[in-house]
Amino acid sequence: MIYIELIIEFLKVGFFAIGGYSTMALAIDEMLKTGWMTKDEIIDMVAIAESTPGPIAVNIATYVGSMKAGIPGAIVATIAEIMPAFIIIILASFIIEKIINNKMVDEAFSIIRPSMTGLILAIGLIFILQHAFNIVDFFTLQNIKDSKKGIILFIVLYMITIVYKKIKTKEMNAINLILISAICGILINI
Amino acid sequence: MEEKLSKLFFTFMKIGIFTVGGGYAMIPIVKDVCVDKEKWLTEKEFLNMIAIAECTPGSVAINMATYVGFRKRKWAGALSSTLGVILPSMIIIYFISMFFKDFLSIKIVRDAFFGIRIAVGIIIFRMGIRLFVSEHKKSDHKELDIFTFIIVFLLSFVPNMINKSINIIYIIIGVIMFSIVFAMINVKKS
Repeated sequence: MIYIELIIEFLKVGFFAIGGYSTMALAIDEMLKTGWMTKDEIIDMVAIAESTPGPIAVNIATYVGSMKAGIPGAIVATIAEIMPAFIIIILASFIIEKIINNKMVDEAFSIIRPSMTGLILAIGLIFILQHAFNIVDFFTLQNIKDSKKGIILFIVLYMITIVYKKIKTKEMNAINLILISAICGILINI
Repeated sequence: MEEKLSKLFFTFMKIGIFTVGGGYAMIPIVKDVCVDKEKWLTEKEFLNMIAIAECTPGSVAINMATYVGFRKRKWAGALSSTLGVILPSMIIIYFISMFFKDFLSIKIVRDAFFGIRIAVGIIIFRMGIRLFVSEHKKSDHKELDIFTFIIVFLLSFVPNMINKSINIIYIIIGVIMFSIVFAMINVKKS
């Protein structure tokens, strides 16, 4: 039955995708294995999942579920996808609440925290290089020549955040910058 | 203070709507809302949560929503915030997959997303720097912080740029093991 297949597939994807972005790779792999989607359909799905609001995992599960079995399919696939994360995080919360005041755990987290900021910085930089400068890796550095609009937009948006911070003495809200950037993106392409 | 369940639901619904580009894009919005505005988490707890979300199964977005909801109102809270974060994308994706597959070929949509992606990069990048600086100020092992920050940054950045993506989970496991060894040594000393 299609619902049971959807549940099993997405429980698998939800459970084995650890740490952002692996969901996408895993889901593509599963979709090819099950033969549920052709390569072209997968390319469509990836583009839509990446550029619509919401977590990519949820987008993929809803997309596949609704293609296969309408609204019930979408609901079943999405719930299966998020179930592992949901349950494991709650279990982890129980454990963490018990041990967080332990001196050693506290020490360990004091090392983990700055490392996480290094990871965040790398992700931000990768995003900027990819979307503003068209650079996906060191071998595509020459793409920078053809990304005038992206560079202009990057400079404009970055200036906006800096000026806002100078005037208001606090960082601009992420949601506001996203709204401004959507408008700028439309304006620069007119 | 008891947070209303509806508040958790609608707050995470808003976060879900403005998350474009997957779980990492959600991190700065969660920080804006849950740390700066609602004060549900301290900055320290927020970075701890990212480490936990990255090394447990499931998408980072679901992990964060469940974690915050559970801390505020246990099971009911976890359910409210998780449903809130997935609902907008479920509805949007359902309509796109059923009726509107060439949504991405509409010029104005494509242009807006062009801007948004660049903004998301800038937001994540700036947050990485800001969090490192504030973490570094409070730290009592400043040299080590800079060291782990740079190492993790390079490990996450360089392989990606030479087309050899390492799964982030390995980096995080490495950091956790290192931090445990460090914590054991440090606690013994004192």
